[in-house]
Amino acid sequence: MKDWNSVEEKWREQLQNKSEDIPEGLWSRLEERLPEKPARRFPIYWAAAAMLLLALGLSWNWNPATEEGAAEVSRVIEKMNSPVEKAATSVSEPLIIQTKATESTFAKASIQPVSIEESPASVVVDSPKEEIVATVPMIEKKEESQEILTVRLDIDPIMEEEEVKPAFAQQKRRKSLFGKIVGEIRQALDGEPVNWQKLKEGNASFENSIHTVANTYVKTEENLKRTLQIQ
Amino acid sequence: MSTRLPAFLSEPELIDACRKNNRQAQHALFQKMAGKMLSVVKRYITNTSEAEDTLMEGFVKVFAKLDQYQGGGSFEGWIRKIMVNEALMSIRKNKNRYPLDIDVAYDIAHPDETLMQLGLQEIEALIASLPTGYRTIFNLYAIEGYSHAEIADLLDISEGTSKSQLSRARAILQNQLITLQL
Repeated sequence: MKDWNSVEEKWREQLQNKSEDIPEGLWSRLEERLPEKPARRFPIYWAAAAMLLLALGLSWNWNPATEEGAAEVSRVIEKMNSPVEKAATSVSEPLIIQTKATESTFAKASIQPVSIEESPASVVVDSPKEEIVATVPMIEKKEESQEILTVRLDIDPIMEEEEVKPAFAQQKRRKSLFGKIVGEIRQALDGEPVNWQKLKEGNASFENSIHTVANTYVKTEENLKRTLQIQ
Repeated sequence: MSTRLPAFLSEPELIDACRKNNRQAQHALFQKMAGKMLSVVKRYITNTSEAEDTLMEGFVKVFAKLDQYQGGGSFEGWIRKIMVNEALMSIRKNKNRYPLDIDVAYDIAHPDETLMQLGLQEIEALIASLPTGYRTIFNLYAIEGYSHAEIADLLDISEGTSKSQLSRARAILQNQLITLQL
């Protein structure tokens, strides 16, 4: 004699895989009840925030504001009452004498002359390209204006990287470290006392920067003199 | 339905696509499951139109709650539970009351041998002849395999009521054999 559990188990097996025919149009009716668009898993404001962060990150890497001003070579020389003008007028003086004079000036200002002794002579002699680069803008500027002369030099491979940086970064640095150093050098050349320690404060790479600026300054001076001699 | 749908390599793939609200995937899932699920729903709701409405509501919930499916058990079983719940809600909504507690349980320990010989259609006709309340409890216990505790929780009744309703349903089925001349 069977019990109810056996009957129900048999019925369950029979009914478990039973399938009805689906009437035509049932899917269309269901589709009308389904939501039109998928739920937004990544809201638009999150996407905007992500884009903003990405842009900030890229700009940060693209313009690393390192304290090494080693490759900074742009400078503005006011022709009136500047050491450059003085140098330019003495075109008959030998080149080597001017180099020594510059070296002694820096020595007097208590700067460690790490590369000053080598750089002016070697860079100027080995880089005829630099002379051309320095000469062309000088002539153009001379014709256009007697007030300001801008000289741009490529002195080492780092410069190529620096050139692609946005202009505002260079401008910012020129105003801060580079500009101050140039000002102090000019002050030293004029024979006035200079407080170099003050410049060193807050600038870890000050020594590298000062050497670079000094090299640039001397090279520029030499180039200007050569150009004037040619003329 | 004659529409050709893209073949989804596996069930997880189909589920993933449905989660992304891929309409073709949803259609494929509907085609795969709708027949069986309509059969489940019809065991609780005998009215065809009402059963189809319940089926559609069930599928809307399936698609909406797919993120809750963790993949632990059978996917078909998960959908079946949603359909059963939807059918129970539909019964409640239509104010079909479950039978009240009865004190006397019908003790029919030995069913008629004929019940074992019935075919699929006869079984369905026999179950469909039960009053809604008895039919619901008989389906939940005997066909879906719910326990009395689960049934009590689902229908908000006591376990004793579930047991007594099942006994009553069995007695009615026994009597229906004669009435329906099966």
